[in-house]
Amino acid sequence: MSGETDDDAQLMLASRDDPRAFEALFRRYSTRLVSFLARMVPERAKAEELAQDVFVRIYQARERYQPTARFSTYLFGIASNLALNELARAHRKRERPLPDDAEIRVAVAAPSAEDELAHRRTREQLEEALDELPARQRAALLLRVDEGLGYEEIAAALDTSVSSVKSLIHRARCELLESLESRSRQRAERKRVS
Amino acid sequence: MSVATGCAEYGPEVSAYLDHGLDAEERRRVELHLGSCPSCAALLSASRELDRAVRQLPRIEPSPGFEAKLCARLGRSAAPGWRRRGMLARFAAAGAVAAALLALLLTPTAPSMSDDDWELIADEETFDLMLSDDHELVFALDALEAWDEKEEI
Repeated sequence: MSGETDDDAQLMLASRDDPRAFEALFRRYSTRLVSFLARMVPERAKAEELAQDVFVRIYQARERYQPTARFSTYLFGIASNLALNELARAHRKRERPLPDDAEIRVAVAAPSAEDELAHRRTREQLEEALDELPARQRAALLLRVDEGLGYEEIAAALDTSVSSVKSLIHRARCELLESLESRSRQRAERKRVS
Repeated sequence: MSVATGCAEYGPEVSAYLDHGLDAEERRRVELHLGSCPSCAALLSASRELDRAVRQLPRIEPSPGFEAKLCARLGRSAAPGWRRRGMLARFAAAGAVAAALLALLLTPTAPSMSDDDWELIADEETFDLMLSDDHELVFALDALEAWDEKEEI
């Protein structure tokens, strides 16, 4: 582990004797974990089930926990593993949450209905493109961009090499950019035709 | 050559550069290259925008029952203090349920219970957790059971 203090690792150690420490970890990570898993696996209910599996596992393992890596690496390593195993088992395409789901916050406030519609369309296209990425590329990209894990941490989480992580993330970005560009061209063509 | 990939030699390095995944020497080489390769420069710019868009995707919040279900899975021995505080709202509702049950006991006609009260009772796992901590509620239920033996509800 780096020389920097990992508060979350300290909380995990403290949770052996103090349940409030585990509660604090839950509060910090429940949304992040559900959000990550909901973008990895097809069904929302399954994502929540896996998120609970992660918390149960780390709780049961708290006596054995050793902070050899950042806590987030440990947590998302378990989450990635469970998600990838689930995807391998199920071979299903991810069902995206509905845009008007009350539990989803709109990320950016748009000034007009037209802007809001354009923003939503862009968001949906990005979510669709993310869905279409191979699972390991998606996991690597989300861990890097959303969770801020470094290449070595992602390599540990995905049980692979740093060079493999570099390749996964590069391919993920290229595929997303090409996919978005292709969708944009198709939309422009449809507008032109109509 | 596509904007989306950069040049064959430096494309993957551009991604790693964006992610601070290069050592000092590698960073210098990539920066030098970016000055002379429009494709890689475009890839870097597009990748930054893409990352920003991904970060702006809304977080997906856990459903309302997520915490209660986790507490149920962790079991009674786990985090009792957490369960008590985290479910404070449900205990307050349980107090309302206890009052309703006592009213049921004491009045000849059954008082109406709200949909929320029934939903709470129907959530058996959660209710069992509350019973372990709320003695007034346990008393109310015991009294109701004793009354139930004498009268049909």
